[in-house]
Amino acid sequence: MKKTNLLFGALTAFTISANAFCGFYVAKAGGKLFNKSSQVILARNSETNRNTITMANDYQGDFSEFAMVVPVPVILKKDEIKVIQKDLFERFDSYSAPRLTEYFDRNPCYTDVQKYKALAMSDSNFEMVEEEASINIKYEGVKIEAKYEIGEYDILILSATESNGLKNWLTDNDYKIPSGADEVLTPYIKDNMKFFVAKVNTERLNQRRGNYLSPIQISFTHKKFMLPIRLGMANANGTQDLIVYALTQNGRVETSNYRTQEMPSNQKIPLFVEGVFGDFYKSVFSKKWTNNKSSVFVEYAWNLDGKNFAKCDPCNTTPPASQELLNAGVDWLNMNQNNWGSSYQGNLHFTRLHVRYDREHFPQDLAFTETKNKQNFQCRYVLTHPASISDELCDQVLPYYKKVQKRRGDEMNNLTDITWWEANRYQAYLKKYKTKIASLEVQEKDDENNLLPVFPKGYTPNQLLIISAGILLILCSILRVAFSKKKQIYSLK
Amino acid sequence: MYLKHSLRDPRFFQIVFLGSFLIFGLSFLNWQIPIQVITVVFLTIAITQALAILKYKLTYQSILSAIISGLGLVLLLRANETSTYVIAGILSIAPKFLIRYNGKHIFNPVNFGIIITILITDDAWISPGQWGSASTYLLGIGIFSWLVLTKVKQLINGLVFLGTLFILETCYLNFYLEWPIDFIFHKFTSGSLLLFSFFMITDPRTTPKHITTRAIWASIVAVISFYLMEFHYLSSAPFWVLFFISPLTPFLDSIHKSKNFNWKQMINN
Repeated sequence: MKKTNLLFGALTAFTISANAFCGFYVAKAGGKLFNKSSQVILARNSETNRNTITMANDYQGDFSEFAMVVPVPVILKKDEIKVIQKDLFERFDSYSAPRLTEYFDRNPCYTDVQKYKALAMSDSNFEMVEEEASINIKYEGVKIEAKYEIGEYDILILSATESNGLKNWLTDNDYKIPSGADEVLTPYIKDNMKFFVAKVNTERLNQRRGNYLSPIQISFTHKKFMLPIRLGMANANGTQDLIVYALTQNGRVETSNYRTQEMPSNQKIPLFVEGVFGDFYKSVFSKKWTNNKSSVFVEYAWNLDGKNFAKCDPCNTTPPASQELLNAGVDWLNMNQNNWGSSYQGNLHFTRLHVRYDREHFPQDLAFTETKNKQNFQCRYVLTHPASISDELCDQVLPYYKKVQKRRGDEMNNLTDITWWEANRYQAYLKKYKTKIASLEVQEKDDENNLLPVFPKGYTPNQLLIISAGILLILCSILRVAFSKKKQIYSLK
Repeated sequence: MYLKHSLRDPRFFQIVFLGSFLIFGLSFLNWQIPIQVITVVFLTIAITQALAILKYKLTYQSILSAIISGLGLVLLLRANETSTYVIAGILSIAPKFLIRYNGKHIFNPVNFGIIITILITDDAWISPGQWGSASTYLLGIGIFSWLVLTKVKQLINGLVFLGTLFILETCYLNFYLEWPIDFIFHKFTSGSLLLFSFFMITDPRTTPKHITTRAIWASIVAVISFYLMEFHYLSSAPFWVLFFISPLTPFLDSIHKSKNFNWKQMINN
C-alpha cells in the first residue's frame, strides 16, 4: 500500500511540464521572449531516410504573440505537417526520466524479503532563459513556397536567396529573431534550407478545447539526421536545455560532432535525497555539464524491440505503446502482431539525450548518427534503507551497523562526487550510526568486564536451560561411547 | 645495443602513444570498454600474427605492427558482442598475408578489419562521438612530438590529407556557406579524424611508394571524404574512402616506381 502511495506521490510531486523546441520562440513585436527547456521527439527510419520531428510547445505568453521558425531541408507538403496530442511528451518523459530506486536491508537478526520500489522524476524544471531580440527595419522580398492551416497554426514555408531578405521579411511580419542568430541565416539559405514559420490563429485556437498549444510534427525524407539548434542561440549569456527522444531501428543515437557521454548512474546515494530528487538530479546534471560543456548526455537508452520483454527495469511508467510510437512517427513496426507482451513486432531503440547548449560551446547544429549499440542504459540512483532494529537482539547487529556506517560513508562520497552538495551539511546522516555503534561497543565492553554474568545477552533462562541439558546429554553419550569402545578392545585382547 | 637499435623503430613510439591514449580514454573519457574486450582483441591478434610468423618465417619484430593494429581496433571500433572483436582481430591481421600484390599488402590492416567487420556482422560501429576536446589536445601533442622525433616524410600523407580537407572545408563552410570560423575548427577536433590522419593513412606499407604519388593519393582521399561528409552526411567517410581507394595503390605504384618500404631499412638508415 505504501509502495503505491509513494510512487504516485513522486509522480505528482515533480510536475511534468513540456517545453519549447529546437528552433526559437519568437514573439510579435513587444512581446517577451522565453525559451524554456525544449523537448523534441525524433523518429528516423534509416532504410527510407524518413525523419519525423515533433516539437513540444510550452509557450507561456499570449498565444496570439507566439511564432516559431525552424529550418527544414525540403519544402514540406500539407500532409507532412500535423499537430498531435501533447501527452505524448509527458509519456516519453516519464518513461525515460532519471529514476530513484529504493532497496530495504534485511534485518540481520531475521530474514525478510528484499523489496524495492521505483520513483520517477521529470526534469522539466530547468531554468528559463530569456532571449534578447533585435529588430531590423530594412525589408526585402522572400518567396512563400507554401501556405497551410493546420490545427491552431497558420504555417508558411519560406525560401530565400539572401539572409537580409529573410531577416527583413521576418521582422516586417512581426517576427523577432534572437540577436546574433542572424549569423546563421546565410549558411542555412546557401545550404538550400527552407524555413518553416508558424503563428497561432486565435480563432481556431478558441474553437478547440484546452488552453495550450499543440505540439507540431513535421516529416520529410532526407539523408540529414540533425536538429537545427543554432538559430535559437542568442549571443546573450545563458544556456538552453534540450531533451531529445530519438526512436531508431538499430541502436543508440549519438551526436557525431559532439562528444556523447553517459550521465553518472547506478550510484548509491543517501536517503535524504528522496524528498529532493528533482534538485538532486539538477545538481548532478549541472556538475557533469560544468566539466563537459561541449558534450551531449545520454540519460536513457533502451532496446524496445518487439521481442525484448523487459522494456524498462525498474519502470517509471508503462513503456510506449504501439499507437504512441506510431503517433511519434515510428513507421517501420508491424503493429498487427502481438508477441512477448508487445503490441508490435520489429526493431526499435529508444535514446534520450540531454543537451545544455550555448553559442560558445555548440558552434554547429546537432548532427546525429545511429550506432549499433544496443546496450541498455538508465540514470538510476539507489537508496538503501537500513533495517529497523528495535532492540539489539543478536551478535549480528554490531557488524551490521558497521556495514551501514561504511555504506553511508560511501553514499556521501558518491553524493559529493556527482553533485555540488557539500558533505559537511549532512553530518547528522553519518552521525546516527556512529552513535549507535559507539553505544553497542560500550555495552560489549561492559559485558566482558562483568565478572558475574547472569545470562549471556539475548538468551532467556529457558533457552539456557535447554542448551545446558543438551550439552550434558552429548557429554554423557560421548563418555558412554568411549567407555564401551574400551571394553570392546579389552575383550578382543 | 639490440635494444637501442629496436628503439629507433618508430613503431615503438606509436605503441607508447596509442597505448597512453587508450589509458586516457578509459580513465578520463569514461570509455566503456570492458577489460575482456581488450584482452580478446590482443589475444586474437597475437595468435593470428604468431601463426603468420610461423608460416611465413617472419621476424618477431613484426609483432609490433600487430600491437599497433590491436590498439587501433580498441580505440576506433565498438561492438556489442565480444565475438565481433575476435572477427575484427583476425580480419586486421590475416589480409596482410592473404591479400597481396607485388610483394605488398593492399589494405590498411585496421581499416580493412573495421570496415569488413561493420559490413558483415551488423554489430559493429565507429563512435565519432567519443572524443572530447581534451583528447584533441592530447592527440595534437602526440602528433607534434612524432613530427619532431621522426621524419616528416613519414607523415606526409596525414599532413596532405588534413591540409586538403581543411582547405576544402574552409572554402565550402566558411567562404561559401559563411559559417563562422569556429564551426570549422570544431570539425577538426574530432579524435577519429586525427587518429585516421596520423595513424592510418600514414601507414607506409599500404600507401603508394613514391612521395609525389603519395601526396596525390592522400589528397584524393581528402576530396572524396569531403564530398561524402558534406553532401551525404557520412561522418565516418574517411574510413570508407580509404578502404575503397586502397586497391588503386598498385596502379599508382606502377606509374611512379619506387622501392618497397621496409621498417627494417628505415631503422638502419
